[in-house]
Amino acid sequence: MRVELAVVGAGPAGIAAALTATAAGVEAILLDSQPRPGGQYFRTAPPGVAENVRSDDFSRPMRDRATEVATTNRPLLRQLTASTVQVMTDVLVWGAFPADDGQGWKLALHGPHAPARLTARALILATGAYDRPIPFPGWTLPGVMTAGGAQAFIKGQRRVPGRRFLLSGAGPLQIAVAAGLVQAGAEVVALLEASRPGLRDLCHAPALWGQWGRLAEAVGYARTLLAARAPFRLGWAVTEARGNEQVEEAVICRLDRDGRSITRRTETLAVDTIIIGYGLIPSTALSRQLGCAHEYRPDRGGYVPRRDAELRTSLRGVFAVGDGAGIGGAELAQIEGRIAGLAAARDLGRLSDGAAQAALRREQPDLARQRRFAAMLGALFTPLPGLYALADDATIICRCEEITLGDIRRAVAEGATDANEVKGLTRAGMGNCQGRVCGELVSRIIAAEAGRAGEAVAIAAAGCFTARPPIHPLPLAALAQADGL
Amino acid sequence: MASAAHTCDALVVGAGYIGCAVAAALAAAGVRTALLDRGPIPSGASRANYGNVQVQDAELAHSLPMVTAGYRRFATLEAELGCSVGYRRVGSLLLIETAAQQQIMAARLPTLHAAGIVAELVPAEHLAELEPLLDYRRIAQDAILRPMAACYHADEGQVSPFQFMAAFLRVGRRHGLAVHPHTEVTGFDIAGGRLVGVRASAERFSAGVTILTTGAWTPRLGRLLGRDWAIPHVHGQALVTERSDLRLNNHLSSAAFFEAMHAGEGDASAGETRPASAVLAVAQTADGHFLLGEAGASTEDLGAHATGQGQAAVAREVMRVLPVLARLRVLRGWAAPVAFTADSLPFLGPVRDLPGLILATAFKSTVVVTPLVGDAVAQWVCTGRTDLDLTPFSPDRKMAVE
Amino acid sequence: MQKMQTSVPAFIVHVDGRPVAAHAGETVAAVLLAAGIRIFRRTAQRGEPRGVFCGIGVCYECLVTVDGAANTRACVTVVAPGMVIETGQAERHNHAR
Repeated sequence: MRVELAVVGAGPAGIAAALTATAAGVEAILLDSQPRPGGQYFRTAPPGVAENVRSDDFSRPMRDRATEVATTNRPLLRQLTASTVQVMTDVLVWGAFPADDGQGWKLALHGPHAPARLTARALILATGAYDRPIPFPGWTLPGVMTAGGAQAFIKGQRRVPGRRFLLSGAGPLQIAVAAGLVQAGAEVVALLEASRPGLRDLCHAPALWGQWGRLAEAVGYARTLLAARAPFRLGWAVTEARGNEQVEEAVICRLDRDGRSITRRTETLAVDTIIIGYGLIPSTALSRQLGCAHEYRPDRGGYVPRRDAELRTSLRGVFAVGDGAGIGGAELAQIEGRIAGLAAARDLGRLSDGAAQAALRREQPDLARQRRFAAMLGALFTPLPGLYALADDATIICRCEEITLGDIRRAVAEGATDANEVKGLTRAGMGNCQGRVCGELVSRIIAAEAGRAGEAVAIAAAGCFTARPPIHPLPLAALAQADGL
Repeated sequence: MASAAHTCDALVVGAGYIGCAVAAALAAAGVRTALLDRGPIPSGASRANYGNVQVQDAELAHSLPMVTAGYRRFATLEAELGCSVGYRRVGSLLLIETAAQQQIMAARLPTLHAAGIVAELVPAEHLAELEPLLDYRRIAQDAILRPMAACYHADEGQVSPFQFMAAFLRVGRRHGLAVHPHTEVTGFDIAGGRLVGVRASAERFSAGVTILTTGAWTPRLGRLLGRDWAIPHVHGQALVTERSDLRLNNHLSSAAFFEAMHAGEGDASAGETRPASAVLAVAQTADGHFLLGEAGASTEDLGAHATGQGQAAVAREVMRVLPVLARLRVLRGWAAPVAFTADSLPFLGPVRDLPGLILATAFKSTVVVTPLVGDAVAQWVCTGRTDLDLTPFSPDRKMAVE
Repeated sequence: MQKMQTSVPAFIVHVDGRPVAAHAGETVAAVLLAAGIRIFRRTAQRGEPRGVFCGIGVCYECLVTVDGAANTRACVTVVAPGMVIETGQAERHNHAR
């Protein structure tokens, strides 16, 4: 199968890119591994699932119809449905390779309705992001889940994934989750914000200019939470999860300015679900497997592909947009999607230079505004270094292979200086998730053991796990059927 | 930026199996040693290796003394190193598909037996006893490839590659070994006709003797010295799966390799790029992950890029023989340039006309000889002689043109 | 259990041997949580309980056996009529027979 442009990931960035390119006359296909487009931000529930009414042990149906309506009526999703963009869902891109004629890229696909491969002259990667893990004793117990995961249940399955909730994190995502839970009738025992924005953070106030929609949303959440009297604490975090086989209680602690727990000020709360929301990490497995150059940018969520002003990566014909290229939110994602869509259309000869330049220029003011906002969020809510000191030697870091902080420290003491050396010695990163969850944690531990905890340069020097195909585990038979790659 | 200058008595370039063992043996012998690698340590093709301790596939004309002595070292290795290398005894089955292969394998037996290697031809009907996964009446009913026979040797083994190299590095460090990852040799220093050290960007390492254990990178370094060492490489790829409760009793590989060598096919001449084709190589780790390989492609490129094509070729080849693995999930694939020589003999020994330079690389089956070669190189450096006869492995030998 | 009022097809899936009601479009994870199950699997080395963590198919914690396919992510697998779901046991393995 051949197309001019393949867009990988049907979240806000990918949809915007596909719509823009198609409108310019590009033959484009939009791919996503989920059953419906929308990604995380625009996640929709399957039709009618909100009508299921059950009472259950660990999960309650959402009672709030308004949120459901809002999400399913996203303008961008309606535009996609009305467009001629070819959309293929339930398909995983497990690797991407240079096309044989050097004129583009071969994508290796796996899915019930997908061909084994797809050739495209240009690629726009819009692979999104996932929750940043902050390990602490007991974090592997059933009942500890991420804010993104809670949102997936709320938005995607119209279910509340627990009964008595503690939310702990840094930044606005968990506020939205808390509001959603409260509206659904769940019991929010406490909402903890680890950061302590102070007077000096007022310098970021200008970044709020123009963000009226967001501010309105935030006010809405605040009102919901205040009305429910959901206890909110600034400068606190969960430091331990306890329970026999699943979460039964949580230990929370006041934090100092560096995020270290002030152990005299702890409390224990009886909860069954702990939601941790410490921001997002860009999904770069595909861009790294392809061989795009990356850089470590903690202000953008971690490793991100290097891009030029038109969002091209270091590889010809490959663009990267949205949270998958640096955390920035849904609005920025759409703007970037449009920019890459325009640039790709020009590269493919579907738009004249003049038309492309004019359209790109029109995007710049919004782009600048959204980038400022993203930078503000990054500055305010990047997890404080002390939070990474919650784990002790017995705490599991590589969840898949059950490798502890102590195991990793021993490997560093033995002489391992980078993530791949630690991986070889401990097996951290060799499990099912292919190092997605523990990857940056390992690099942070290496930096900390060298006395440079939290220093971006030291973390970057420790590198990241090498990404190779298949970028998700696949049955052997699926690889065997991959013809003509 | 000021140049960093390091001085040592012995410099080992290339931190794979051989490099780690050589560096450890030298350091333990009291030689002030430094170990360099252009990448992380451990590195190279050794990182992409199964860790098989292979015996019966040895090159017959000159390698048997080294291989048999090498294998014997494993009985006491863990005790000597003071830690586990994940060593266990595993058998080897070379699967025979054609009459030509059978003839070739049968012809090898007398020489193997004379060297004390008790390999034997096993007819198809007895394969299932040795390897239940090859039981064509039951578990392997869907197999397309049913070997007509196999060459079986019980006394082979397996180590865990990273534990193996880490053990040598540990010994080395205990004796003061200096380890320099991410340090690429960019030039050599020659004074008075002697190799006196290497340069790595802004750093200088001066050493009485330099040992290159650099695998596929050896010719590139050789060109810096005006040498044209005939060490081509093949781009090897393999896959590792999730854990399985299926048990593989033996390493499985194919006699096709010997058929190709016999027919003088060898590999593509320099400069030619061929897509990946796969030859069977299956092993299993102690905790149950299957190691599946291996695709080889000819390419000049020294990059270690796993290709979808190579992975698909490995998967198809393995599925021919072991369709029972169809649903096993592949967790990752990897690739590395694997050095080889046209005569299947390593480059092991001093380089004539350039005192101060030793090569120890391009072994056919590396793991089995690793501890032995480490000791041999240390012995050479310290005493000027070795118990092992190095003549057939001379880096200066004329390579026969096929 | 409240009576179901739904226009979405409802069907039976089997969870650890017992029949459970499920609906088109639900994920295995949602059905399991609704059935009161949070411990989806036990780890290979220590036998420790694990359940949903990231919820979006990235972390591979929520692994259950679906129609004989071991190590299937519950949070991204949509239920189908008659699906056989097994949870909570020690690590299961995949093979064709």
